[in-house]
Amino acid sequence: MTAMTEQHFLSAPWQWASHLPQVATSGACQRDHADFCRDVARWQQAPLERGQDAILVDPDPWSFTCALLACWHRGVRVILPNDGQPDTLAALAKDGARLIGAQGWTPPSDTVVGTPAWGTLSAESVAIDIFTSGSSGTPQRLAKTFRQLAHETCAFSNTFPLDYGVVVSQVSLHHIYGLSAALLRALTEGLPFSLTPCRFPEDVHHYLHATSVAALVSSPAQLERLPEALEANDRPPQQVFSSGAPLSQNAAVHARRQLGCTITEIYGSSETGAIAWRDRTVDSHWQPFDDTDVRADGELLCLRSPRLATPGWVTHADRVRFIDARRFELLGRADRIVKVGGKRISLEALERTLAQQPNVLKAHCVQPRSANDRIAAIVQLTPQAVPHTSAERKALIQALRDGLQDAFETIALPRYFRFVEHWPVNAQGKLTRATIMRLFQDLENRDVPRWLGCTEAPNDICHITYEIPEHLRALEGHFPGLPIVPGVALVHWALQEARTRWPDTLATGALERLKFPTPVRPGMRITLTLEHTATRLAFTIRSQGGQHASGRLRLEETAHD
Amino acid sequence: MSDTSLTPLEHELAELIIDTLELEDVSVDDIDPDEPLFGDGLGLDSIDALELGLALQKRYGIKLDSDAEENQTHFASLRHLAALVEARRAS
Repeated sequence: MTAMTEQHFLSAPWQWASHLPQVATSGACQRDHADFCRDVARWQQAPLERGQDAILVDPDPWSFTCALLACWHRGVRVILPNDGQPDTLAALAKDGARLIGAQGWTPPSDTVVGTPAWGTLSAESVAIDIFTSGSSGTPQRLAKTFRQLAHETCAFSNTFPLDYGVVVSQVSLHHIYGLSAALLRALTEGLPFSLTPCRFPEDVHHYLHATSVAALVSSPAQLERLPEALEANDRPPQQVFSSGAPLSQNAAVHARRQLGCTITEIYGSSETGAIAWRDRTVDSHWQPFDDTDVRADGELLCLRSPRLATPGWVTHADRVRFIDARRFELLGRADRIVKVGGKRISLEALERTLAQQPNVLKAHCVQPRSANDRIAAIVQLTPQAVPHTSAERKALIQALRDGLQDAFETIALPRYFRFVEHWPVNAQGKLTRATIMRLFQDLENRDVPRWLGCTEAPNDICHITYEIPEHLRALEGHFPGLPIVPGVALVHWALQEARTRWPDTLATGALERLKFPTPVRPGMRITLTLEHTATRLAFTIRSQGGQHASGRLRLEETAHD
Repeated sequence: MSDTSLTPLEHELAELIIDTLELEDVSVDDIDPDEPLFGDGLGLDSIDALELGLALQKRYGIKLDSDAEENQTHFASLRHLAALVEARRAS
């Protein structure tokens, strides 16, 4: 195979039907080059003024792709926010950019237009603005030129060549990894991409079943949740990629067995783009991409690659140890050494020791309130070890503290624990600062229960897990000696959660069929299930002991499409 | 096993400890008045000792000597702490 080059990318080969006869597929449904040209031309009708930037948010891969290319070939710079929250979008629109996609302008479906204008892409023009995930603070805005994107794409094409097949992305295309490793790679190499969003294991299963998958672009959060057995007639993908966070050895082995294919982990960041890769079932050390130079600057990683914004060396916040000139071990971020009461403590050392305790799958330690303050731990447990009562929780915390006692001073032991069943990551596979703050919100606010994560299911159903803190304000006076959470508080939590999630449709509505079969007590772990349909919002609150509350909100008939 | 019921002052101090140190899983009923507050029992540490010292000063006007050894006796258990508060408050 000839090496993929920056020139090839900049020539925009996707404009030729001979290069890209089939642009996207879901197995059952196809989009060919004529569909692609028609829809790119439609998106080019977007009412943008000269020099005005576009903000693009669209969860549908096809609309996203057509809109993105329509902008690029018109010379429009595209801002890709991490999420479509009204606050995020309003802040971006303040600078004069216009929102297009699912929540903004979309082309009328009956527009008849000619062929798209395939304006040239120039290497040093800004193609996109992306945002860091916010795992270590407020998201930072980063501009990426076409040259940088070309080299992101080439790194994958040249290091991991693919035969013909579908490129399936489980991760957001709004992020540099999904955009380059899945979408741009497919377009540049003339491979079809997945026409439908593929966040859930069932979606992946569908593609493996219905098509020939060239590459599965995924993340640790998703690879950890693969179903136990894929059907015998499923064909393994040629390549599986994982990025966003380290993949544990267990998850790597599990995913490899389930998918019948090695898992290539990509190490990089929004700022630097892809840096290195590994297959940890073969070698746990990282190997830089061929076009990337690496060295150590003190204990920090220093790198130089055509994916950086500047041509020189850049020092990264990650600590490294070199095994030889082209292989290194990652030791964690420099900012993960913290002080508690003046003592230096490595959060990563704590996490490693926690992860070795029985039933612990993963741990993340933070200082949720301020530097120099107490350490808190987010701990993912095997399902059978999850505490459901305060007695179980206390026993577990005691056991974990005992397990850490030999290696750490008392001062370093986590004071606050949050036990989760699923690692609470966002669509990019990141545990964000905002999620961390939410997990510890009950420390500051005695009116809220302890939030322990939310899992989404298809069809507007979600499950939110809480624990009832001993110091919840709603417990006061209900009743001395036998505290219970009043039903009104449970209903309030359910509605508040639902209104945050579906702000447009739940403003009004009548509550009905409220039931409170058994009381909720302090220390209990409960699950709130919300189900949103065209006519109602139903909620139930359950615990291991049974059902505690249920009810529904009847919605106005026209409230939801 | 000793008597684990709390006097009103012990109860008050237990609440103070829980609130000051934000022990999120401990209720007053969980604190055995004879069990050590530090080390094995409640698992408190040297930062907690400082914070608790400040809280006692604020609430009862008691100033604890910085003598660590003496503090260890005072903080040995809830019962010891209550005795200290009683004694210093009276004087």
